[in-house]
Amino acid sequence: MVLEPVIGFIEWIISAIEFMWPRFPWLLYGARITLYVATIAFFLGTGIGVFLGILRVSGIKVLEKIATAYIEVIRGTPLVVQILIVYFGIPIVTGIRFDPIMAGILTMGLNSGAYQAEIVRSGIKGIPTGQLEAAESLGLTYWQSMRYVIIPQAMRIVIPAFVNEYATILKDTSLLIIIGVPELTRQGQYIAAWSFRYFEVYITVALIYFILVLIVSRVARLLEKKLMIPGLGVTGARL
Amino acid sequence: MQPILLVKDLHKSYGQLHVLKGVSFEVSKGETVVIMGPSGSGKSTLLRCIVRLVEPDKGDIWIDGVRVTDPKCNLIDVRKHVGFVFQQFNLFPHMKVIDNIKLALVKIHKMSEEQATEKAMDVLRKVGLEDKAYAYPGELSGGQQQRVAIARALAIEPKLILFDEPTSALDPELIGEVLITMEHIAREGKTMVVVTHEIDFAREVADRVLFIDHGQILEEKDPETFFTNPEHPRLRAFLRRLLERV
Repeated sequence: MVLEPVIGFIEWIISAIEFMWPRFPWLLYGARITLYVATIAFFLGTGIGVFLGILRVSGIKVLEKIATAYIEVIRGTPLVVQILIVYFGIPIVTGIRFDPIMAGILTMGLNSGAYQAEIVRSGIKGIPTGQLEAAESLGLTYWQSMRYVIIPQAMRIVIPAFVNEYATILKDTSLLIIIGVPELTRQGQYIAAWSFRYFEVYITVALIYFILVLIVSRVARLLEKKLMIPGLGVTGARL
Repeated sequence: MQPILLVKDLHKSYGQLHVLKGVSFEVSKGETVVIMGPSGSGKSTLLRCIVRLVEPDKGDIWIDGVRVTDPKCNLIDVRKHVGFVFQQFNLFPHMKVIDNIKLALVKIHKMSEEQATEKAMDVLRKVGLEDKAYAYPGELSGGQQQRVAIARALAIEPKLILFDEPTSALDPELIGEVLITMEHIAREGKTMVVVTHEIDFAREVADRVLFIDHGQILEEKDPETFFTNPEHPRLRAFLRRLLERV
């Protein structure tokens, strides 16, 4: 029979769904933790990123050096190692202990800040110098020019890069498995470990990540449209 | 009478390149002075030095009696009273036309929202674009954008307006509307320094024309003499090239 393998496959799918269905809420719980950690870490990173990004173009040598050093150290070390340092290392030295979720948010936020600083810097650099000249010629100070003229344009230009960064964080939260944050991957591992149904479980986990990233990129496209201004494309193209 | 703008022995170098080699001139109240010269002769640098968007190396500049080149001089106070119109318009693309104009009025000149709106509409009417107040710069033609930029410069009621090749980035058919707007402003008695290659504008509107080449002012005349009887051989060569192009 030609149909046999097909029927076998369909049966296998049905049994996989039957197995996953009652456990799905556990994964959804994990997905909620993942979204929670990623979102707070992202905005923490945005705060750090905007601050460091501005320092990088401030023209004040000491501040530029400090920002650059921070960015290089973060980008030059693995995220997993950073997570281990914050969760296991910091408490020994300082006596301050974070719970796993808090440590996760903190590490990922500090980490993402370095990457977002580079995004912000490239956005600022992408604004034609004539904009700063025009603002200053009107009597605005350097910082006023930044605030009212340069930053609002730079942030629009780099929206796609920010969305990309958010998607990266969303997926990288899976590394928090090593400190026991009950995020999506950890929840999957838990189910797989006692049922031995690794394949079904991790495929489902992967599917959930995929759908989350898909939703993020769709929402981002709406956001881009909403913030779109004629002549100021989010890609930086001018009419 | 005290000149609105007085420039004395201005020098500026970029590395090895000596862009301005001792430029001196003055502009009286209500005058329109046109500066001509080949590209790379230092015209744009000169205008930028006046409001210190570029730092001059040596020399002095007075605007309405204030020595701008004084290290203690408050630049903001100077720029507050000098309008600058750029070759590339440099409107802020993320702001509506009216907000482009209101920004400095509200933040620097401390006007209320209503006052600023009124003032902005006032200057937009002057350049014939009051119906575009709530458009974004990207929705306007190049000529309209430059007229908005002129309105933005006018709104602060400047003592002096500097124009840096205001029509050089425009398509030929859009140049006329900008020149007409500038002519209106000149006739109203505004003090203007205009860097341009537009001979007709210089002839009809300028009170004086300066020729600058290799960082030096080589000739300074009323427009009639400047164009019909140029003395310096480099000016003659320059005018010949300019007329050939037309």
